[in-house]
Amino acid sequence: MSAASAIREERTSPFSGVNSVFIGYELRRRFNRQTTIFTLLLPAVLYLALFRTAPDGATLPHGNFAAWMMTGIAVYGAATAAVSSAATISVEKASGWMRTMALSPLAPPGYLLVKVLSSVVMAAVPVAVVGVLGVFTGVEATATVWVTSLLVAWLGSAVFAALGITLGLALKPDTVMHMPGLTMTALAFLGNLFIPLSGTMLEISRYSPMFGVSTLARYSLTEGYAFSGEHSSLAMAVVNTVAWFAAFSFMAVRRFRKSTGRN
Amino acid sequence: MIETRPRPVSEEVSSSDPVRLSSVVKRFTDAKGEQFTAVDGIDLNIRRGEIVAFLGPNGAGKTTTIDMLLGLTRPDEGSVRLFGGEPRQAVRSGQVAAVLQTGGLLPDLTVEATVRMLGSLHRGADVDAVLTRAGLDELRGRRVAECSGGEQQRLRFALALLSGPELLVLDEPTAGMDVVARRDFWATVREDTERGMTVMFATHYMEEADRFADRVVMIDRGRVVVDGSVSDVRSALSGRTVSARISERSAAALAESPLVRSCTPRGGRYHFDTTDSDALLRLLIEQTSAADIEVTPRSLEEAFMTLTHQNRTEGDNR
Repeated sequence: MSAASAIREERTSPFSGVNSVFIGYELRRRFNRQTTIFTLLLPAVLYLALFRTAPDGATLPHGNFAAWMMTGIAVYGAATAAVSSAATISVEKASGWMRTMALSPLAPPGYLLVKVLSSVVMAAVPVAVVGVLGVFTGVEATATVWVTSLLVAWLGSAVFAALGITLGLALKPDTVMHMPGLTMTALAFLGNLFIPLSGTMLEISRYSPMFGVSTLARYSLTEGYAFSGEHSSLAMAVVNTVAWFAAFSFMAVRRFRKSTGRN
Repeated sequence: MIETRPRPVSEEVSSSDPVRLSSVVKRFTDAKGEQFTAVDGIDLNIRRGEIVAFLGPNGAGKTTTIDMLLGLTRPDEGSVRLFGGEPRQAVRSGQVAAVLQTGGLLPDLTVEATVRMLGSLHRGADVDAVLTRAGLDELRGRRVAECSGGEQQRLRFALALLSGPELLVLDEPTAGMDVVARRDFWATVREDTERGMTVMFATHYMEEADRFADRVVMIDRGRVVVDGSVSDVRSALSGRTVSARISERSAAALAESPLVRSCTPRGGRYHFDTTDSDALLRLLIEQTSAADIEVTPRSLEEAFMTLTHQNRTEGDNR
Protein backbone atom coordinates (compact mmCIF):
# COMPACT_ATOMS: atom_id res chain seq x y z
CA MET A 1 0.00 0.00 0.00
CA SER A 2 2.71 2.44 1.02
CA ALA A 3 4.70 2.06 -2.19
CA ALA A 4 1.62 2.57 -4.31
CA SER A 5 0.62 5.57 -2.20
CA ALA A 6 4.04 7.10 -2.57
CA ILE A 7 3.80 6.87 -6.35
CA ARG A 8 0.29 8.27 -6.26
CA GLU A 9 1.35 11.17 -4.03
CA GLU A 10 4.20 11.97 -6.33
CA ARG A 11 2.07 12.47 -9.42
CA THR A 12 -0.52 14.81 -8.03
CA SER A 13 1.30 18.09 -8.58
CA PRO A 14 -0.80 20.74 -10.34
CA PHE A 15 0.86 19.99 -13.66
CA SER A 16 1.18 16.26 -13.26
CA GLY A 17 0.28 14.29 -16.29
CA VAL A 18 1.42 16.88 -18.83
CA ASN A 19 3.45 14.78 -21.25
CA SER A 20 4.54 14.57 -24.86
CA VAL A 21 2.19 11.72 -25.84
CA PHE A 22 -0.83 13.66 -24.64
CA ILE A 23 0.33 16.84 -26.37
CA GLY A 24 1.01 14.77 -29.52
CA TYR A 25 -2.62 13.63 -29.65
CA GLU A 26 -3.75 17.14 -28.87
CA LEU A 27 -1.75 18.48 -31.83
CA ARG A 28 -3.01 15.74 -34.14
CA ARG A 29 -6.56 16.68 -33.26
CA ARG A 30 -5.84 20.32 -34.04
CA PHE A 31 -4.35 19.81 -37.50
CA ASN A 32 -7.59 19.41 -39.34
CA ARG A 33 -8.42 20.92 -42.72
CA GLN A 34 -9.84 24.09 -41.24
CA THR A 35 -6.79 24.96 -39.17
CA THR A 36 -4.42 24.00 -41.99
CA ILE A 37 -6.14 26.50 -44.28
CA PHE A 38 -6.10 29.26 -41.72
CA THR A 39 -2.64 28.68 -40.31
CA LEU A 40 -0.62 27.62 -43.38
CA LEU A 41 -2.34 28.48 -46.60
CA LEU A 42 -3.94 31.79 -45.71
CA PRO A 43 -0.82 33.41 -44.21
CA ALA A 44 1.23 32.26 -47.20
CA VAL A 45 -1.28 33.58 -49.74
CA LEU A 46 -1.75 36.85 -47.87
CA TYR A 47 1.98 37.40 -47.67
CA LEU A 48 2.48 36.74 -51.37
CA ALA A 49 -0.40 39.07 -52.21
CA LEU A 50 0.74 41.89 -49.95
CA PHE A 51 4.52 41.98 -49.70
CA ARG A 52 4.85 44.36 -52.66
CA THR A 53 2.07 46.75 -51.64
CA ALA A 54 4.36 49.31 -50.02
CA PRO A 55 2.98 52.82 -49.73
CA ASP A 56 4.79 55.41 -51.87
CA GLY A 57 8.06 56.49 -50.41
CA ALA A 58 7.96 53.96 -47.61
CA THR A 59 11.27 53.72 -45.87
CA LEU A 60 12.24 51.79 -42.78
CA PRO A 61 15.31 52.20 -40.62
CA HIS A 62 16.46 48.57 -40.61
CA GLY A 63 14.87 46.75 -43.54
CA ASN A 64 12.38 46.89 -46.38
CA PHE A 65 8.59 46.76 -46.70
CA ALA A 66 8.62 43.01 -47.32
CA ALA A 67 10.16 42.59 -43.88
CA TRP A 68 7.38 44.71 -42.40
CA MET A 69 4.74 42.59 -44.11
CA MET A 70 6.48 39.32 -43.25
CA THR A 71 6.42 40.22 -39.57
CA GLY A 72 2.76 41.25 -39.71
CA ILE A 73 1.74 38.04 -41.42
CA ALA A 74 3.86 36.00 -39.01
CA VAL A 75 2.02 37.58 -36.07
CA TYR A 76 -1.29 36.91 -37.79
CA GLY A 77 -0.44 33.28 -38.59
CA ALA A 78 0.90 32.55 -35.13
CA ALA A 79 -2.13 34.13 -33.49
CA THR A 80 -4.53 32.17 -35.70
CA ALA A 81 -2.71 28.93 -34.98
CA ALA A 82 -2.76 29.65 -31.26
CA VAL A 83 -6.46 30.41 -31.25
CA SER A 84 -7.20 27.11 -33.01
CA SER A 85 -7.46 25.53 -29.55
CA ALA A 86 -10.98 26.98 -29.56
CA ALA A 87 -12.25 24.26 -31.90
CA THR A 88 -10.94 21.38 -29.81
CA ILE A 89 -12.05 22.93 -26.52
CA SER A 90 -15.54 23.56 -27.79
CA VAL A 91 -15.91 19.92 -28.85
CA GLU A 92 -14.44 18.82 -25.52
CA LYS A 93 -16.95 20.87 -23.62
CA ALA A 94 -19.90 19.64 -25.66
CA SER A 95 -18.86 15.99 -25.35
CA GLY A 96 -18.30 16.02 -21.60
CA TRP A 97 -14.56 15.53 -22.01
CA MET A 98 -14.11 18.23 -19.36
CA ARG A 99 -15.56 15.85 -16.81
CA THR A 100 -13.20 13.12 -17.93
CA MET A 101 -10.35 15.58 -17.54
CA ALA A 102 -11.60 16.65 -14.12
CA LEU A 103 -11.34 13.01 -13.05
CA SER A 104 -7.86 12.55 -14.51
CA PRO A 105 -4.48 13.42 -13.01
CA LEU A 106 -4.45 16.38 -15.37
CA ALA A 107 -5.58 18.90 -12.77
CA PRO A 108 -7.13 22.10 -14.21
CA PRO A 109 -3.83 23.98 -14.47
CA GLY A 110 -2.37 20.99 -16.32
CA TYR A 111 -5.21 20.96 -18.83
CA LEU A 112 -4.73 24.67 -19.54
CA LEU A 113 -0.97 24.18 -19.79
CA VAL A 114 -1.45 21.48 -22.45
CA LYS A 115 -3.67 23.85 -24.43
CA VAL A 116 -1.16 26.70 -24.23
CA LEU A 117 1.85 24.48 -25.02
CA SER A 118 0.21 22.97 -28.07
CA SER A 119 -0.87 26.43 -29.19
CA VAL A 120 2.71 27.62 -28.98
CA VAL A 121 3.91 24.60 -30.97
CA MET A 122 1.20 25.18 -33.57
CA ALA A 123 2.13 28.85 -33.81
CA ALA A 124 5.69 28.01 -34.84
CA VAL A 125 4.46 26.54 -38.11
CA PRO A 126 3.09 29.67 -39.84
CA VAL A 127 5.99 31.72 -38.49
CA ALA A 128 8.42 29.30 -40.13
CA VAL A 129 6.43 29.24 -43.39
CA VAL A 130 6.27 33.00 -43.67
CA GLY A 131 9.95 33.27 -42.70
CA VAL A 132 10.94 30.91 -45.51
CA LEU A 133 8.75 32.80 -47.98
CA GLY A 134 10.44 35.98 -46.79
CA VAL A 135 13.86 34.61 -47.62
CA PHE A 136 12.76 33.86 -51.19
CA THR A 137 10.86 37.08 -51.81
CA GLY A 138 13.58 39.54 -51.04
CA VAL A 139 13.06 40.50 -47.44
CA GLU A 140 15.87 42.80 -46.47
CA ALA A 141 16.58 43.25 -42.80
CA THR A 142 19.37 43.14 -40.29
CA ALA A 143 20.02 39.88 -38.45
CA THR A 144 18.55 41.38 -35.26
CA VAL A 145 15.33 42.22 -37.09
CA TRP A 146 15.03 38.70 -38.51
CA VAL A 147 15.46 37.07 -35.15
CA THR A 148 13.44 39.41 -32.94
CA SER A 149 10.53 39.88 -35.31
CA LEU A 150 9.90 36.19 -35.90
CA LEU A 151 10.60 35.26 -32.28
CA VAL A 152 8.22 37.88 -30.89
CA ALA A 153 5.57 36.93 -33.47
CA TRP A 154 5.86 33.34 -32.30
CA LEU A 155 5.88 33.93 -28.53
CA GLY A 156 3.28 36.70 -28.76
CA SER A 157 0.84 33.99 -29.79
CA ALA A 158 0.47 33.16 -26.08
CA VAL A 159 -1.93 36.13 -25.88
CA PHE A 160 -4.16 34.43 -28.43
CA ALA A 161 -3.76 30.99 -26.92
CA ALA A 162 -5.63 32.44 -23.95
CA LEU A 163 -8.23 33.95 -26.29
CA GLY A 164 -8.63 30.54 -27.96
CA ILE A 165 -9.47 28.94 -24.62
CA THR A 166 -12.04 31.64 -23.90
CA LEU A 167 -13.66 31.30 -27.33
CA GLY A 168 -13.65 27.51 -27.09
CA LEU A 169 -15.43 27.57 -23.77
CA ALA A 170 -17.88 30.24 -24.91
CA LEU A 171 -18.86 28.97 -28.36
CA LYS A 172 -20.75 25.94 -29.63
CA PRO A 173 -18.87 23.45 -31.85
CA ASP A 174 -20.77 24.41 -35.02
CA THR A 175 -19.95 28.12 -34.76
CA VAL A 176 -16.43 27.65 -33.51
CA MET A 177 -15.24 26.27 -36.87
CA HIS A 178 -15.37 29.68 -38.53
CA MET A 179 -15.50 32.20 -35.73
CA PRO A 180 -11.86 32.15 -34.57
CA GLY A 181 -10.46 32.38 -38.12
CA LEU A 182 -12.71 35.28 -39.00
CA THR A 183 -12.16 37.01 -35.66
CA MET A 184 -8.41 36.78 -36.07
CA THR A 185 -8.52 38.13 -39.62
CA ALA A 186 -10.62 41.08 -38.47
CA LEU A 187 -8.31 41.72 -35.52
CA ALA A 188 -5.34 41.55 -37.87
CA PHE A 189 -6.72 44.32 -40.09
CA LEU A 190 -7.53 46.35 -37.01
CA GLY A 191 -4.14 45.65 -35.49
CA ASN A 192 -2.17 47.26 -38.35
CA LEU A 193 -0.94 43.90 -39.64
CA PHE A 194 -1.96 43.83 -43.31
CA ILE A 195 -2.37 47.42 -44.42
CA PRO A 196 -0.27 50.21 -42.95
CA LEU A 197 -2.74 52.32 -40.97
CA SER A 198 -2.51 56.00 -40.19
CA GLY A 199 -4.52 58.80 -38.55
CA THR A 200 -7.71 57.87 -36.73
CA MET A 201 -7.50 54.23 -37.79
CA LEU A 202 -4.08 53.96 -36.23
CA GLU A 203 -5.40 55.63 -33.06
CA ILE A 204 -8.15 53.00 -32.80
CA SER A 205 -5.70 50.29 -33.71
CA ARG A 206 -3.51 51.10 -30.72
CA TYR A 207 -6.15 49.62 -28.39
CA SER A 208 -6.74 46.43 -30.35
CA PRO A 209 -5.30 43.09 -29.22
CA MET A 210 -2.91 42.50 -32.11
CA PHE A 211 -1.40 45.96 -32.13
CA GLY A 212 0.80 45.36 -29.11
CA VAL A 213 2.34 42.12 -30.33
CA SER A 214 2.83 43.39 -33.90
CA THR A 215 4.43 46.64 -32.73
CA LEU A 216 6.78 44.68 -30.48
CA ALA A 217 7.61 42.26 -33.28
CA ARG A 218 8.34 45.13 -35.68
CA TYR A 219 10.08 47.39 -33.21
CA SER A 220 13.60 46.44 -34.19
CA LEU A 221 12.62 47.08 -37.83
CA THR A 222 10.64 50.32 -37.47
CA GLU A 223 11.82 51.76 -34.15
CA GLY A 224 8.12 52.29 -33.53
CA TYR A 225 7.41 54.55 -36.52
CA ALA A 226 4.46 54.07 -38.85
CA PHE A 227 4.95 54.83 -42.57
CA SER A 228 2.92 57.98 -42.03
CA GLY A 229 5.42 59.09 -39.40
CA GLU A 230 3.40 58.49 -36.22
CA HIS A 231 5.30 56.93 -33.39
CA SER A 232 4.23 54.19 -31.01
CA SER A 233 6.38 53.74 -27.95
CA LEU A 234 7.77 50.41 -26.83
CA ALA A 235 6.16 50.89 -23.42
CA MET A 236 2.72 51.35 -25.01
CA ALA A 237 3.17 48.15 -27.00
CA VAL A 238 4.19 46.25 -23.87
CA VAL A 239 1.20 47.60 -21.94
CA ASN A 240 -1.16 46.61 -24.78
CA THR A 241 0.26 43.09 -24.94
CA VAL A 242 0.26 42.51 -21.20
CA ALA A 243 -3.20 43.99 -20.74
CA TRP A 244 -4.79 41.85 -23.43
CA PHE A 245 -2.97 38.77 -22.22
CA ALA A 246 -4.23 39.40 -18.69
CA ALA A 247 -7.77 40.07 -19.93
CA PHE A 248 -7.93 36.93 -22.09
CA SER A 249 -6.36 34.78 -19.38
CA PHE A 250 -8.78 36.10 -16.79
CA MET A 251 -11.74 35.31 -19.03
CA ALA A 252 -10.34 31.88 -19.85
CA VAL A 253 -9.80 30.92 -16.21
CA ARG A 254 -13.22 32.22 -15.19
CA ARG A 255 -14.99 30.34 -17.97
CA PHE A 256 -12.94 27.25 -17.25
CA ARG A 257 -13.86 27.27 -13.55
CA LYS A 258 -17.51 27.50 -14.51
CA SER A 259 -17.34 24.65 -16.98
CA THR A 260 -15.80 22.01 -14.70
CA GLY A 261 -18.05 20.33 -12.21
CA ARG A 262 -21.55 21.38 -11.36
CA ASN A 263 -20.93 23.45 -8.26
CA MET B 1 -0.37 -3.27 -13.61
CA ILE B 2 -3.23 -4.23 -11.31
CA GLU B 3 -1.73 -7.58 -10.44
CA THR B 4 1.28 -5.98 -8.81
CA ARG B 5 -0.78 -3.75 -6.54
CA PRO B 6 -1.29 -4.97 -2.99
CA ARG B 7 -4.81 -6.27 -2.57
CA PRO B 8 -7.25 -5.03 0.04
CA VAL B 9 -8.30 -6.82 3.20
CA SER B 10 -12.05 -6.76 3.57
CA GLU B 11 -12.44 -7.19 7.36
CA GLU B 12 -10.43 -4.11 8.08
CA VAL B 13 -12.63 -1.27 9.33
CA SER B 14 -10.72 1.94 9.55
CA SER B 15 -10.66 5.60 8.70
CA SER B 16 -8.99 4.66 5.44
CA ASP B 17 -12.05 2.82 4.13
CA PRO B 18 -12.51 3.36 0.42
CA VAL B 19 -15.67 5.42 0.99
CA ARG B 20 -16.87 7.31 4.03
CA LEU B 21 -19.80 9.65 3.57
CA SER B 22 -20.95 11.31 6.79
CA SER B 23 -24.26 13.20 6.90
CA VAL B 24 -23.75 14.51 3.40
CA VAL B 25 -26.24 17.14 2.24
CA LYS B 26 -26.49 18.86 -1.12
CA ARG B 27 -29.02 21.49 -2.09
CA PHE B 28 -29.64 22.94 -5.50
CA THR B 29 -31.46 26.04 -6.55
CA ASP B 30 -33.79 25.47 -9.49
CA ALA B 31 -34.58 27.88 -12.31
CA LYS B 32 -37.33 29.57 -10.29
CA GLY B 33 -34.89 30.24 -7.48
CA GLU B 34 -36.42 27.65 -5.18
CA GLN B 35 -34.09 25.45 -3.20
CA PHE B 36 -34.50 21.73 -3.19
CA THR B 37 -32.50 19.14 -1.35
CA ALA B 38 -31.07 16.54 -3.70
CA VAL B 39 -29.16 14.68 -1.02
CA ASP B 40 -30.55 14.88 2.49
CA GLY B 41 -28.06 13.47 4.95
CA ILE B 42 -26.51 10.29 3.56
CA ASP B 43 -24.20 8.16 5.68
CA LEU B 44 -22.36 5.45 3.84
CA ASN B 45 -19.23 3.46 4.55
CA ILE B 46 -17.84 1.05 2.00
CA ARG B 47 -15.12 -1.35 3.07
CA ARG B 48 -12.35 -2.73 0.93
CA GLY B 49 -13.38 -5.40 -1.52
CA GLU B 50 -17.12 -4.75 -1.21
CA ILE B 51 -19.33 -4.59 -4.28
CA VAL B 52 -22.14 -2.21 -3.53
CA ALA B 53 -25.19 -1.56 -5.69
CA PHE B 54 -26.57 1.92 -5.33
CA LEU B 55 -30.24 1.94 -6.22
CA GLY B 56 -32.93 4.50 -6.40
CA PRO B 57 -35.55 5.95 -8.69
CA ASN B 58 -34.71 8.81 -11.03
CA GLY B 59 -34.07 11.98 -9.11
CA ALA B 60 -33.36 10.11 -5.89
CA GLY B 61 -29.95 11.75 -5.65
CA LYS B 62 -27.75 8.95 -6.99
CA THR B 63 -25.81 11.03 -9.47
CA THR B 64 -25.46 13.94 -7.06
CA THR B 65 -24.11 11.56 -4.42
CA ILE B 66 -21.64 10.11 -6.92
CA ASP B 67 -20.56 13.58 -8.05
CA MET B 68 -19.81 14.49 -4.43
CA LEU B 69 -18.06 11.20 -3.91
CA LEU B 70 -15.78 11.95 -6.86
CA GLY B 71 -15.17 15.52 -5.78
CA LEU B 72 -16.94 16.94 -8.83
CA THR B 73 -19.41 18.71 -6.54
CA ARG B 74 -18.83 19.92 -3.02
CA PRO B 75 -21.38 18.93 -0.37
CA ASP B 76 -23.18 21.72 1.48
CA GLU B 77 -22.90 19.79 4.74
CA GLY B 78 -21.16 16.66 5.93
CA SER B 79 -17.89 15.15 4.79
CA VAL B 80 -16.70 12.87 2.02
CA ARG B 81 -13.50 10.90 2.49
CA LEU B 82 -12.00 8.42 0.06
CA PHE B 83 -9.30 6.20 1.52
CA GLY B 84 -9.12 8.66 4.39
CA GLY B 85 -8.34 11.62 2.14
CA GLU B 86 -9.82 14.26 -0.09
CA PRO B 87 -11.91 12.85 -2.96
CA ARG B 88 -10.20 14.97 -5.59
CA GLN B 89 -6.81 13.75 -4.50
CA ALA B 90 -7.86 10.09 -4.58
CA VAL B 91 -9.50 10.53 -7.98
CA ARG B 92 -6.65 12.42 -9.62
CA SER B 93 -4.07 10.01 -8.32
CA GLY B 94 -6.00 7.17 -9.94
CA GLN B 95 -6.70 5.33 -6.70
CA VAL B 96 -10.36 5.89 -7.51
CA ALA B 97 -11.70 5.69 -11.05
CA ALA B 98 -15.16 6.30 -12.40
CA VAL B 99 -17.31 5.24 -15.32
CA LEU B 100 -19.80 7.99 -15.89
CA GLN B 101 -23.18 7.53 -17.45
CA THR B 102 -22.80 9.32 -20.77
CA GLY B 103 -20.44 11.59 -22.62
CA GLY B 104 -16.88 12.11 -21.55
CA LEU B 105 -15.43 10.81 -24.82
CA LEU B 106 -14.16 12.64 -27.86
CA PRO B 107 -16.13 11.59 -30.94
CA ASP B 108 -13.32 12.22 -33.42
CA LEU B 109 -10.71 10.02 -31.70
CA THR B 110 -10.35 6.30 -32.29
CA VAL B 111 -10.82 3.85 -29.45
CA GLU B 112 -7.11 3.14 -29.23
CA ALA B 113 -6.13 6.81 -29.43
CA THR B 114 -8.52 7.62 -26.59
CA VAL B 115 -7.00 4.95 -24.36
CA ARG B 116 -3.44 5.93 -25.30
CA MET B 117 -4.10 9.62 -24.76
CA LEU B 118 -5.53 9.12 -21.28
CA GLY B 119 -3.12 6.31 -20.57
CA SER B 120 -0.24 8.75 -20.99
CA LEU B 121 -1.50 10.59 -17.90
CA HIS B 122 -1.02 7.58 -15.66
CA ARG B 123 2.51 6.47 -15.08
CA GLY B 124 3.00 2.83 -15.98
CA ALA B 125 -0.46 2.35 -17.47
CA ASP B 126 -0.55 -0.72 -19.74
CA VAL B 127 -2.70 0.40 -22.64
CA ASP B 128 -2.66 -2.90 -24.54
CA ALA B 129 -3.60 -4.92 -21.47
CA VAL B 130 -6.44 -2.56 -20.66
CA LEU B 131 -7.79 -2.70 -24.23
CA THR B 132 -7.80 -6.48 -24.04
CA ARG B 133 -9.40 -6.60 -20.61
CA ALA B 134 -12.22 -4.32 -21.70
CA GLY B 135 -12.75 -6.45 -24.81
CA LEU B 136 -11.79 -3.67 -27.20
CA ASP B 137 -9.09 -5.39 -29.22
CA GLU B 138 -11.22 -5.59 -32.34
CA LEU B 139 -12.39 -2.00 -32.02
CA ARG B 140 -9.00 -0.31 -31.67
CA GLY B 141 -9.21 1.56 -34.96
CA ARG B 142 -12.88 2.54 -34.74
CA ARG B 143 -13.81 6.16 -34.17
CA VAL B 144 -15.69 6.77 -30.93
CA ALA B 145 -18.55 8.39 -32.84
CA GLU B 146 -19.09 5.11 -34.70
CA CYS B 147 -19.17 2.95 -31.56
CA SER B 148 -22.45 1.68 -30.15
CA GLY B 149 -23.56 2.69 -26.68
CA GLY B 150 -22.30 -0.59 -25.26
CA GLU B 151 -18.94 -0.24 -27.00
CA GLN B 152 -18.55 3.30 -25.72
CA GLN B 153 -19.30 2.08 -22.23
CA ARG B 154 -16.64 -0.59 -22.52
CA LEU B 155 -14.26 2.17 -23.60
CA ARG B 156 -15.15 4.23 -20.52
CA PHE B 157 -14.54 1.14 -18.46
CA ALA B 158 -11.14 0.68 -20.12
CA LEU B 159 -10.24 4.28 -19.29
CA ALA B 160 -11.21 3.68 -15.68
CA LEU B 161 -8.87 0.70 -15.53
CA LEU B 162 -5.83 2.65 -16.74
CA SER B 163 -4.71 3.82 -13.33
CA GLY B 164 -5.19 0.42 -11.70
CA PRO B 165 -7.83 1.81 -9.32
CA GLU B 166 -8.62 0.32 -5.92
CA LEU B 167 -12.14 1.71 -6.02
CA LEU B 168 -14.27 1.80 -9.14
CA VAL B 169 -17.42 3.91 -9.22
CA LEU B 170 -19.92 3.31 -12.00
CA ASP B 171 -22.86 5.63 -12.54
CA GLU B 172 -25.65 3.70 -14.25
CA PRO B 173 -23.15 2.08 -16.58
CA THR B 174 -25.70 0.08 -18.54
CA ALA B 175 -28.42 2.70 -18.96
CA GLY B 176 -29.72 2.50 -22.51
CA MET B 177 -27.96 -0.76 -23.36
CA ASP B 178 -29.80 -3.77 -24.71
CA VAL B 179 -29.91 -7.01 -22.73
CA VAL B 180 -26.98 -8.63 -24.51
CA ALA B 181 -24.75 -5.57 -24.21
CA ARG B 182 -25.61 -5.32 -20.54
CA ARG B 183 -24.71 -8.92 -19.90
CA ASP B 184 -21.44 -8.56 -21.79
CA PHE B 185 -20.58 -5.41 -19.92
CA TRP B 186 -21.14 -6.99 -16.53
CA ALA B 187 -19.19 -10.09 -17.51
CA THR B 188 -16.24 -7.82 -18.29
CA VAL B 189 -16.56 -5.92 -15.03
CA ARG B 190 -16.99 -9.09 -13.00
CA GLU B 191 -13.76 -10.51 -14.35
CA ASP B 192 -11.94 -7.48 -13.12
CA THR B 193 -13.53 -7.29 -9.72
CA GLU B 194 -12.45 -10.82 -9.04
CA ARG B 195 -9.03 -9.28 -8.64
CA GLY B 196 -10.30 -7.62 -5.47
CA MET B 197 -11.33 -4.16 -6.58
CA THR B 198 -13.92 -2.33 -4.47
CA VAL B 199 -16.90 -1.39 -6.62
CA MET B 200 -19.83 0.90 -6.17
CA PHE B 201 -22.35 1.09 -8.97
CA ALA B 202 -25.55 3.02 -9.40
CA THR B 203 -28.26 1.29 -11.34
CA HIS B 204 -31.95 1.25 -12.16
CA TYR B 205 -31.98 -2.45 -12.72
CA MET B 206 -32.75 -4.52 -9.63
CA GLU B 207 -31.58 -7.60 -11.46
CA GLU B 208 -28.11 -6.12 -11.88
CA ALA B 209 -27.89 -5.47 -8.17
CA ASP B 210 -29.15 -8.96 -7.56
CA ARG B 211 -26.60 -10.69 -9.75
CA PHE B 212 -23.61 -8.58 -9.17
CA ALA B 213 -23.53 -6.88 -5.77
CA ASP B 214 -22.79 -8.10 -2.25
CA ARG B 215 -24.58 -5.23 -0.68
CA VAL B 216 -27.46 -3.03 -1.72
CA VAL B 217 -27.93 0.56 -0.71
CA MET B 218 -31.20 2.13 -1.78
CA ILE B 219 -31.87 5.77 -1.63
CA ASP B 220 -35.00 7.75 -2.20
CA ARG B 221 -35.44 11.50 -2.00
CA GLY B 222 -31.86 11.91 -0.94
CA ARG B 223 -31.98 9.50 2.00
CA VAL B 224 -30.86 5.92 2.50
CA VAL B 225 -33.97 3.74 2.79
CA VAL B 226 -32.42 0.29 2.66
CA ASP B 227 -28.89 -0.86 3.36
CA GLY B 228 -28.19 -4.54 3.59
CA SER B 229 -26.88 -7.65 1.96
CA VAL B 230 -28.40 -8.65 -1.35
CA SER B 231 -30.10 -11.70 0.10
CA ASP B 232 -31.71 -9.67 2.92
CA VAL B 233 -33.00 -7.10 0.55
CA ARG B 234 -34.20 -9.69 -1.89
CA SER B 235 -36.24 -11.55 0.71
CA ALA B 236 -37.62 -8.30 2.02
CA LEU B 237 -38.66 -7.37 -1.45
CA SER B 238 -39.69 -10.67 -2.91
CA GLY B 239 -43.20 -12.03 -2.90
CA ARG B 240 -46.26 -12.49 -5.05
CA THR B 241 -49.51 -10.77 -5.52
CA VAL B 242 -52.65 -12.84 -5.15
CA SER B 243 -55.83 -11.24 -6.39
CA ALA B 244 -59.41 -12.44 -6.29
CA ARG B 245 -63.06 -11.43 -6.27
CA ILE B 246 -63.97 -11.63 -2.65
CA SER B 247 -66.35 -10.09 -0.16
CA GLU B 248 -65.19 -7.09 1.75
CA ARG B 249 -65.51 -8.89 5.07
CA SER B 250 -63.41 -11.87 4.01
CA ALA B 251 -60.85 -9.52 2.58
CA ALA B 252 -60.60 -7.64 5.85
CA ALA B 253 -60.24 -10.90 7.73
CA LEU B 254 -57.51 -12.12 5.39
CA ALA B 255 -55.65 -8.86 5.62
CA GLU B 256 -55.16 -9.66 9.34
CA SER B 257 -53.23 -12.80 8.43
CA PRO B 258 -49.45 -12.63 8.94
CA LEU B 259 -49.06 -13.96 5.39
CA VAL B 260 -50.45 -10.76 3.95
CA ARG B 261 -48.26 -7.73 3.79
CA SER B 262 -50.80 -5.42 2.29
CA CYS B 263 -54.24 -5.52 0.76
CA THR B 264 -55.59 -3.12 -1.81
CA PRO B 265 -58.96 -3.12 -3.56
CA ARG B 266 -58.68 -2.32 -7.26
CA GLY B 267 -61.03 -2.90 -10.19
CA GLY B 268 -63.59 -4.89 -8.16
CA ARG B 269 -60.85 -7.22 -6.92
CA TYR B 270 -58.71 -7.40 -3.85
CA HIS B 271 -54.95 -7.60 -4.33
CA PHE B 272 -52.99 -9.25 -1.55
CA ASP B 273 -49.29 -8.73 -1.36
CA THR B 274 -47.84 -11.87 0.21
CA THR B 275 -44.61 -13.60 1.06
CA ASP B 276 -46.14 -17.07 0.81
CA SER B 277 -48.64 -17.29 -2.00
CA ASP B 278 -49.18 -21.05 -1.62
CA ALA B 279 -50.36 -20.74 1.97
CA LEU B 280 -52.51 -17.77 1.12
CA LEU B 281 -54.13 -19.66 -1.76
CA ARG B 282 -55.04 -22.48 0.62
CA LEU B 283 -56.60 -20.00 3.00
CA LEU B 284 -58.53 -18.36 0.19
CA ILE B 285 -59.93 -21.62 -1.13
CA GLU B 286 -60.62 -23.29 2.19
CA GLN B 287 -61.99 -20.38 4.17
CA THR B 288 -63.55 -17.96 1.72
CA SER B 289 -65.72 -17.98 -1.35
CA ALA B 290 -63.08 -16.23 -3.42
CA ALA B 291 -63.48 -16.47 -7.20
CA ASP B 292 -61.28 -15.70 -10.24
CA ILE B 293 -58.09 -16.14 -8.24
CA GLU B 294 -54.89 -14.97 -9.91
CA VAL B 295 -51.32 -15.25 -8.71
CA THR B 296 -48.69 -12.96 -10.22
CA PRO B 297 -45.05 -12.68 -9.25
CA ARG B 298 -44.25 -9.33 -7.79
CA SER B 299 -41.65 -7.66 -9.89
CA LEU B 300 -38.66 -6.27 -8.09
CA GLU B 301 -39.42 -2.87 -9.52
CA GLU B 302 -42.88 -3.07 -8.07
CA ALA B 303 -41.47 -4.13 -4.71
CA PHE B 304 -39.02 -1.32 -4.85
CA MET B 305 -41.78 1.17 -5.59
CA THR B 306 -43.79 -0.11 -2.63
CA LEU B 307 -40.79 0.09 -0.39
CA THR B 308 -39.83 3.62 -1.32
CA HIS B 309 -43.50 4.60 -1.18
CA GLN B 310 -43.87 3.19 2.33
CA ASN B 311 -40.86 5.09 3.37
CA ARG B 312 -42.28 8.26 1.92
CA THR B 313 -45.57 7.96 3.79
CA GLU B 314 -43.77 7.16 7.01
CA GLY B 315 -41.48 10.08 6.47
CA ASP B 316 -44.41 12.39 5.76
CA ASN B 317 -46.24 11.28 8.90
CA ARG B 318 -43.29 12.02 11.08
